Amino acid sequence: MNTAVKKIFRQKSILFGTILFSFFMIMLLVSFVWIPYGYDIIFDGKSLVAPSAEFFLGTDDLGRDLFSRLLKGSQFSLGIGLVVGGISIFFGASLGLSAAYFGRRIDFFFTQIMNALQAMPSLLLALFVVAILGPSITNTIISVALVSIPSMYRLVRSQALVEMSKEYIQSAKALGASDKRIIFRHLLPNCATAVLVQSAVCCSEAILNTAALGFLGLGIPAPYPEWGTMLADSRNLMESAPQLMWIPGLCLLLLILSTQLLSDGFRDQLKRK
Amino acid sequence: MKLFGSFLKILGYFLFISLVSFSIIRLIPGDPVQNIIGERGASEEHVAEITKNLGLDQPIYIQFYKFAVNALTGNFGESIVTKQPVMSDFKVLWPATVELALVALLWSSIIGILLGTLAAVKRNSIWDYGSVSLSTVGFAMPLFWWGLIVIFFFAVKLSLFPVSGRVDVIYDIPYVTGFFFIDSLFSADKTAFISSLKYMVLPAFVLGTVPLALIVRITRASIIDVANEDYVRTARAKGLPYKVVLFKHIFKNALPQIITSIGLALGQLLTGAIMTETLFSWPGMGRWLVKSIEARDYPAVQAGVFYSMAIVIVVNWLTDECVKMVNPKMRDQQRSST
Repeated sequence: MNTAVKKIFRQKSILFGTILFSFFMIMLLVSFVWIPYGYDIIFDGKSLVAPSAEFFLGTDDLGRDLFSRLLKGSQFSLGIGLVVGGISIFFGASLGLSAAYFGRRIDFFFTQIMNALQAMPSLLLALFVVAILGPSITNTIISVALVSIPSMYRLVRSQALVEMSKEYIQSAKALGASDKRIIFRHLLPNCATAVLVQSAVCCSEAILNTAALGFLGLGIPAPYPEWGTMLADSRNLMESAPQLMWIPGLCLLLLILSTQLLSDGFRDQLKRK
Repeated sequence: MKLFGSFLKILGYFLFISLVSFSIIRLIPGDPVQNIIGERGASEEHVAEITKNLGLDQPIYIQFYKFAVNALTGNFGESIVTKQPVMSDFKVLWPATVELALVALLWSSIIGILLGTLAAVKRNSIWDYGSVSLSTVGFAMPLFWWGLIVIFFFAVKLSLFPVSGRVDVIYDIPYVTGFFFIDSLFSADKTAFISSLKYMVLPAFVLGTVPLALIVRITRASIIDVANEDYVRTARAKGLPYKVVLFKHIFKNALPQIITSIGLALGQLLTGAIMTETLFSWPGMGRWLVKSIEARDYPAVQAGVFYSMAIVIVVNWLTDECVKMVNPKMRDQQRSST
């Protein structure tokens, strides 16, 4: 391994974050290729079976295999986290860059909208969007993404404003470079680390909010096994089948922890530079 | 002049939050009148009557004006579910949430500041590592899962505390302030107070966890920051005992940041209240909001949007004022700029 990579991994939060996150990434990739029983197959008379050789983690109250549901659930929890991270990078970064670059009215306009979106706690905003649009997979993604775009916008905008005041941008302008060239060749690469840090934050917020919506019964609709929804279903079964409560929750905690460790680690790296 | 400026600001905020809550009912796909009638249909006169009752026959700016005026007087119309004015539902619910949030904030601030200070003072000790890892995990903890674990151990396994409601059903606490602690304390039956205390323990413990993580983290960071300042070294060099320096120099200067973190925590309490109240069947605003959204009870949702945004704005303003109060630097800065 080359030394630069070694140096990054010497930081414990990045090391642990990467290990945990890759574990869930592998889980996500496996779920596309192989799921032992299928997430919605009901085994009659085999409800609430304890973990055994046949059912690795046991079954739920309807007789569905918990391990299969857990695997499928990673597509929603982690999958939505990644998609929302991508969406917020795209919208947050492009709006933030253009606000910083063009300034004035565009800046004022976007900043006001983002301030308005941030005036509400994130889960509340997501709840209201679902209240308006109704619960479904797409609407969950929309509502969760809408919550995470403003934070990305703010960070990219402030970073880009710092870069804008530096001399190399002015000299690029003086040389007659086009807006497009300055934004993509100069501004964007210099804001990339900030985007990276914030996308990990957006990802963890998205995972948490998706699960929270699911837990309240307003997220991914049944029969899809989203981890938050699975937790909500386990509420009345915690005595008879505690694994239904422990396992999805533990997955959720470790997944969120891994993204937060990564973003903390990246932020420290950014500061050290 | 300053008064006029803040008046304008408040007016702007008010217009903004009423605009948002006003738009909600108009953003829903479909006709609100049809939504109310449902699938069974109604006669044309009935449709016209509902349209007129909702004020939908008037131009949109007049509708908004009326909504804003009504919102100012706390009139959000009738709830579709309970058929009661939304305000009268709301009046019973908000003390429950405020009581829960205050208790949660109180314990998490006290413990959080203590742990954070301890971690900063005894750097690289077990206390430090312990509180840092505690706050890292607490920050990542999905509140609803944490709630389930707490219920599992303290209510199901050990049956120490009750898990649903605010007080035992056998007690009929006369409704005076709506805050059960106060009401039950002044009622004839003193055991009602003990009962309401018992019901408070688990929800307040769960609700305070994420704020605790936040407060520990920021207290630790800001105290370490301040401890590196020159004036702290000077104070130590002139022979002041460490305890005096800690309280007189370090803690006082770290306070503005700690207060800001408590303000941030208040914002999280609002989100957390939704989860905690749903978990513990606590009859407060959060659970009411989720129920209204599930039932598509739009007048209630509108009121919920209006009040939650108002609360956030007021909390942010209060935090700023508190920070200004304890930090003369910021006070003077503002004075010189205006």
